[in-house]
Amino acid sequence: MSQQKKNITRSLRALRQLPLEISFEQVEQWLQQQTTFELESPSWWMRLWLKWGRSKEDKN
Amino acid sequence: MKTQTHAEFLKWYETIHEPFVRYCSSRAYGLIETEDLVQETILATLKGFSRIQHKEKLLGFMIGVVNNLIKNKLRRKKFRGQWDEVLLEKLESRAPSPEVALDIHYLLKAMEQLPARQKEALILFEVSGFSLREVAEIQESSVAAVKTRLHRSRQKLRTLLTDEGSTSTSVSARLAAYASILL
Repeated sequence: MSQQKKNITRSLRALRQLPLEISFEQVEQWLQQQTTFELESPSWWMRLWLKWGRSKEDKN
Repeated sequence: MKTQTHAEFLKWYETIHEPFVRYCSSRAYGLIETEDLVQETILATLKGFSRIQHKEKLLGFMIGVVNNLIKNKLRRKKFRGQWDEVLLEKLESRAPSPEVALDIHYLLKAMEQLPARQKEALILFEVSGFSLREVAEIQESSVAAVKTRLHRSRQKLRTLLTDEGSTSTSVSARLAAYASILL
């Protein structure tokens, strides 16, 4: 194998062995925060819908 | 309902996390933070997750999303390219030595110049660690076609990474880059 091929092979191997920038646990935690955020902070349309639902109940 | 979808997604995603992040890391280099690319891809995937009939093909689906996100960012030019010194500093913190970091830096810069399918095949095979058959499945190609892409991508890399190739890999540029790490 030529020197150049060896260098490229070596660099590719080094790239493959770099530590990951983000772990699976970090992804899991981030996704959990996304879900919590959505559950605790209803979007504007949901607030509007809830408001409409409450005012209908008051009328009845 | 959403938590159920997320839980199911994570069950399938856990097995592909490492090769997927390695793919994102190579594609994102110099364009976007890897973490941002991973998160944007997951959010886009979750939107269409229930429509993916064969969940075992999740990785192929997500790689398609990554490719489209990168393409869109390049088209809209809504990214801030990072200076080589900043990129090298980040790589150095993860690599075993500054010399290895520099080699990887030039390799990733050269890989950016490969045609899309060759780049994808090379990253999936050499960086993410998939077999030829697995790469062929992800790329929806034959094994022979993948072998050709890999062969051509390596040939192209040899051209790009010689001193006579791109000016960004000239000897003086390498010396300047070494100096910026060491000083």
